[in-house]
Amino acid sequence: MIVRGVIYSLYALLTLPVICVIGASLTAGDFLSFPPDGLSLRWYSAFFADRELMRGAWISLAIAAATTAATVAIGVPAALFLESDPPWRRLIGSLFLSPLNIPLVLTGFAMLVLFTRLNLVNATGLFIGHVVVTVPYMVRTILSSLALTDPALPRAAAIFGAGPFRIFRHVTLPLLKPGLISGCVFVFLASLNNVALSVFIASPGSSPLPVVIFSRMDSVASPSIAAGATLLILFTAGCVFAFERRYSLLGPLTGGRI
Amino acid sequence: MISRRSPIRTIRRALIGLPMAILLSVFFFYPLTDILVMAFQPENGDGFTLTNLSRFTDNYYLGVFLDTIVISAAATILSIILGFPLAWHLHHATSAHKRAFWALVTLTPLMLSLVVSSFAWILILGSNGLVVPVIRTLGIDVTSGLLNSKTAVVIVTISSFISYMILNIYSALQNIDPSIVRAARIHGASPTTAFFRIILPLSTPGIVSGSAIVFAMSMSAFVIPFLIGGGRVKVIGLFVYNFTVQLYDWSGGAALGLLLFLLTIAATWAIAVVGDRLTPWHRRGT
Repeated sequence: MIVRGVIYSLYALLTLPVICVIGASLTAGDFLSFPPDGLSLRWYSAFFADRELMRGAWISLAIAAATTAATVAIGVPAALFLESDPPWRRLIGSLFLSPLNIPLVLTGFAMLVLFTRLNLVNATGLFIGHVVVTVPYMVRTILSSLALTDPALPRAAAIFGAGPFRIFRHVTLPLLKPGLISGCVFVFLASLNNVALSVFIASPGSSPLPVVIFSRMDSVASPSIAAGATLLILFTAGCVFAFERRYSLLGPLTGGRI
Repeated sequence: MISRRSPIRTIRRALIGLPMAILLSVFFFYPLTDILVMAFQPENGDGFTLTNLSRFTDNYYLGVFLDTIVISAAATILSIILGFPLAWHLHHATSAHKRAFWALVTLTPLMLSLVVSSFAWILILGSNGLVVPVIRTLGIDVTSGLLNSKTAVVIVTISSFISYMILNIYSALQNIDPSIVRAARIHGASPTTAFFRIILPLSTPGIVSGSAIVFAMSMSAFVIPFLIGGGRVKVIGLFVYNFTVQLYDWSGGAALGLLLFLLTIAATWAIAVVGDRLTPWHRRGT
C-alpha cells in the first residue's frame, strides 16, 4: 500500500509542472501565482494581443514544420545509406548520430560563431541549427524500423523486375511509414520545444516562442507567459495523443542502435 | 549471400548519404573544429597558446567545476532512486493499456520545453508558490523562497531528465529472463533476496546507461541553472553561455567548453567502468 502511494505520488510529481503552468495561466489576478487567484481566460486574450509572443509562436511553428520536412529529405536517405551496409558503417553511423552526443551548449556556441560570420543569425540559421540537432532522431527511427522489415521484400520486388524507384515507392516506403510518422512527430516536437540551441542563434526579430518566454522570465513575468507555455503544452500533448496510439514515440528515443 | 558490389553501385549508394554528410560537415563538424582551434589560439591572432585554458585553473573556477559535478552527481543518484520504482511499476503493468498510459505520464517531462518546466518550478518553489507556505507553517523562515539555490537546481534537473533514467531501467528490466527469478524463488530465495541478488544486478546496464545520459545532460545544462539559480548557482554550462552570448569572449568560452566536454567524457567513461564492475556477468570472468 505504502509502495503504491509512493509510486503514485512520484507520477503526480512528474505531471505537477504541467498542472501548475496550466493553472497559473487561468488566473483572474494580475500576477502569476499557483493556485490561481480566481479563474478567467483574460491572459489568453492578452497572449493573442501580444505581438512579440504571437510572432514567436508563428516562427516556432514555421521552423518546426520546415525542420521536419528537411529531416525527412536528409535523414531518410541517410538511414537507407547506412542500411545498405557501406564500408565503415559503424564509423559513419556514429558520426551521423554524433549531434546527439555533443552538449547543446557547445553546438549552440559553435553555430553562433559560424552564423555570425555567415550573417545567418536569423530564422534561416535557426532552421539549419534545428535540422542538425534533430536529424539524428530521424535517422535512428528509420534505422530501427528498417531493422524490423523483412529484407527479402525489396529483393523479391527486384527479382520481379521493379527498378530502384519503384521498389522505394511501393515496397520500402509503405514499410517505413510508421517509423517515418513517429520520427516526424518527434522531430517536430523537439524543434518546437527547443530552447537550448535557439537562445544562441535567435535574434530579437526572429525569436521562437520558447526563447521569447526565456527572455521574459527574468523580468517580472506576466501570466500571458503562462498562457503561451500552456498553448505550447497543449499543442505538444495534442500531437502526442493523435499519434501515440498508432505510432510509438519511444522509437526515436531508444531505437536504432548502430 | 554472395555480395556483388560493383564500384558504380557503391558510388550511387553513397550519393544518398551525401546530403547528410555535407550538412553535418558544414554546419556541425566544421564549426566545432573551429571553436576547438579557438580554444588554443590567442585572442585576435594566430599562433598557439594555453593561456585560454590555464585561466580556468584558479580556485574560483575549480569551485565552479566542483559545484557542477556535485549538482550533476546528486541529480543522477536521486534519479536512480526515484526512477527505479517507476520503471518497476511500468515493467509490472498488468495490461498494455495501463502501461501505455503510465509510459505517457513518464514521458511528460521530455515533452515539456526546458523553459516551460523551469517556469513551472519557479511557480512551485517561488515565494508565493505551493511549497513555501507549507514550510512557513512549520515555523521555518523562508522569506526569499526556495529558488536561487543548488537544491532547487537539482530538483528541476531531476524533474526534467528523470524520464531517460526510467526508460533505460525499464528496458533493462524487460530484458531480464523471468525464469531466472522463478528459479531463485524455487530454490528458496525470498522476494527480497531475489530482488537484491538477481533483479538489481541484472538491471545495472539500464542504471548505468541512464546515469550516463542524465549525468552528461546535467553537466552541460545551462537553461535550468540560468532560470532557477538566479545567478547564484554557478555551473560550467552557464559560464560557457555567458562567455559566448553576453561577454563575446569566444576564446574563453571555447576553452571552458572544451574542458566541460573532456570532463563529461571522462565522467561518462568512469560511470561505464564502474557499471561494468557491478554487472555480474562481467565479474564472472575475472
